[in-house]
Amino acid sequence: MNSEPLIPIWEAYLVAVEALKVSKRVVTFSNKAKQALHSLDDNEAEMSKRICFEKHKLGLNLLNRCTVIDQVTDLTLINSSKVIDDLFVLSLWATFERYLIDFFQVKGEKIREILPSDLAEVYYEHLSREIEYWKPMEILDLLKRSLFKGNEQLIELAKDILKYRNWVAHGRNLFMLKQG
Amino acid sequence: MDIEFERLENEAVRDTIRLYLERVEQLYTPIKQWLTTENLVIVSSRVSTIERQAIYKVTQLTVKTPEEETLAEIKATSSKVIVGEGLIEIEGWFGKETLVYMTDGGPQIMKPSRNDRSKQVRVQMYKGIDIDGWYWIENSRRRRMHLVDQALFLELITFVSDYEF
Repeated sequence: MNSEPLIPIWEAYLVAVEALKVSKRVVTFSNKAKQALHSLDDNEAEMSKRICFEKHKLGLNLLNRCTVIDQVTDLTLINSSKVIDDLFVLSLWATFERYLIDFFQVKGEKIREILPSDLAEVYYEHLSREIEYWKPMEILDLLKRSLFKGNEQLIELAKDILKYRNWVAHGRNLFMLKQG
Repeated sequence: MDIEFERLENEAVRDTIRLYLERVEQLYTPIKQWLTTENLVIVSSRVSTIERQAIYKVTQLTVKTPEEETLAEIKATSSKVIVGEGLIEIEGWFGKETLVYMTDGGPQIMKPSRNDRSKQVRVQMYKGIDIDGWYWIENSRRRRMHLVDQALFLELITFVSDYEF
């Protein structure tokens, strides 16, 4: 079982955020190059004209076959960032929950050793399926009373994160009054 | 301080938000000075902040160059945050940076002591929190925070806008 399952998700998030930043720079570069070319004076030095053309060509190449990024407004970009943030909150929590459930299913494998052996396999299968549907809040409470004695505030932090995740998952429901 | 609430889940939240907005104002004062010394223009406006437990109006600072180009918007976005006590977001066309209000050295966790692995010691989760105030997280994996001062703040404006001072 991977002991650091959140790392690849976090890295993917950093990549996505930075990719958006670089794209914005490229679009700005390309637009400036286009403007510079259009406002070129015939009397400019040959070298300046060459540089202008090359920059314009570079801009076009960088955005070749990209039909969305150079048309978006700043507002669309800001909204895209927010959507990406929300998606990663959901993805991080899903990965974390998967990790917890896997942990309990693996610990539950001891059941396979009970007697009679006829019962063992069927019992384990049923238990495993049930664990898949354990409520996240209850799993956290279970951990709080056992492995996290002395560090209960970490479980409380996790619960806060779960509440935030639930709010995001429900479309940032403005009327969500329940705490859980 | 009178707060314009559009929605409020319960009264306990009101006090939290009041304290949060006071702390935001405490940072806005030096921010305005720092930006003015750099010849940048600050425009205040009122916008809504939407949280799970309340919707209320806050002051947003828009930072512009003398040529009217918008560099960044500074806004109080959240009174409740996982490891601290409130967020201020600085957002520009190039990116977004977040400031967190930290108190009492920040959250602590129990870890096995380096000298004796069977004993537990209490350590701070984040390095660099000496006084209560607004901090920037340099790198959430390295867990280091920096108190916001003029140099750091101007760097953050550059981070979000590509503007060179």
